[in-house]
Amino acid sequence: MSEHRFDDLLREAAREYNAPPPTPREEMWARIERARTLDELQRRRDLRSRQRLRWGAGIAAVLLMGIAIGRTLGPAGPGGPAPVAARVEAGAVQPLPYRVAATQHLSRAEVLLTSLRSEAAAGSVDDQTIRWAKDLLTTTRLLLDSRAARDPELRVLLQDLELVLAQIVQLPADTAPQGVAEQELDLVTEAIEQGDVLPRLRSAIPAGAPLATT
Amino acid sequence: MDPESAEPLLATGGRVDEHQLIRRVLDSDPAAERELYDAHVDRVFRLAYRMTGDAELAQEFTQDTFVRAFQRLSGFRGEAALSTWLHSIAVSVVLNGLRKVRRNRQREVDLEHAREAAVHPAPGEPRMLERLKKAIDGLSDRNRTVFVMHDIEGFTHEEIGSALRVTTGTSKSTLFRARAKLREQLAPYAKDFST
Repeated sequence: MSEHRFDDLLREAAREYNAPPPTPREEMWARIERARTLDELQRRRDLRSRQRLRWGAGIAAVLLMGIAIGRTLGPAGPGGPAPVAARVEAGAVQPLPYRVAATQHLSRAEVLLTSLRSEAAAGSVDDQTIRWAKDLLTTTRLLLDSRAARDPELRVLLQDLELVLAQIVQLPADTAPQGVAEQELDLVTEAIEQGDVLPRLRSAIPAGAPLATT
Repeated sequence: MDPESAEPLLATGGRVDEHQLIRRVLDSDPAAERELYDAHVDRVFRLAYRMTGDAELAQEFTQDTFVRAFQRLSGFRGEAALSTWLHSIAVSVVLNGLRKVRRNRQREVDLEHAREAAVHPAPGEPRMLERLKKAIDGLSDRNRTVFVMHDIEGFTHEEIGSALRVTTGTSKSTLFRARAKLREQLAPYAKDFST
């Protein structure tokens, strides 16, 4: 049989190869529409949360600046003008910005502690993580001195977080003898575990909820 | 549906209609989305089914193709026909999906084969179509895709080249190699073809 003839017969027979059934148009369209709707919802949610984050970051920056100025100026005398932070607390800024700042801070702390835990499992902590912990420790202390800490539950959580962060900041550099570093790391992870810090952080962060709800 | 008649309805109105349709889809006109889907779904589904031989996978890959196409439509520059662009998404979705499925199934298949071989005696001569199916299944992804697209689904070498991002010449030589492989595998049964 010639090559050409064989190819023709092959093509003929191959029509039976995985012969498709009629296209289930409606069934597939329904799923595509559903997926498209979910996509759109997700896109809108992402957009909203990006906008909120930008807005929240701005407010948090203003809040932290206010607290810092308030601390620098000290308490006002009886006749003098109230310090900026005090004026902020007196009502110019509602509790909402504090909650936004606190929620963002707790989210960052959760990310830090989670990555610290995995680094600890690997046996050493990155310098960058320690620098990050230092930044978070400063913010934690600022929040503890702010109106955000009037919420007793949040105050306790922030205090525990401060303790853990202070321990992380004290961690020896990579050059420390292996045994010392490991021991210190164990103490930190123990503090996280014993204080249930991560679960408490997670439950304090409103999952999927808008950051700025009242 | 016959591949020839499966040519998208847009072809009747040409590129102008296609551009209008795309603009309507991008303006979030749901009727336009459905129109685009209706125009192309048969050919995409047929290709997905031929490549997978599995109704569920073919549906999944077809859906995925359209979802991705709608997501990326704003990036479609209109240099090629919309159908060509869609088929290139479909081929990539199918081949990537099949790779994933094969990885997951490999273990199960190995176990199943081992079990069958132990339980059943060696089967007799398989039927001609089964031999052919096995031979086509045994081709490499590239060879099989070109063979299925050209010899079974009637795509042109230009369409295949665009979908696989290869030149027309490469598509032709790939088809030549695929046929040669099949001839080689089926040569002992050549007589059965003519009967």
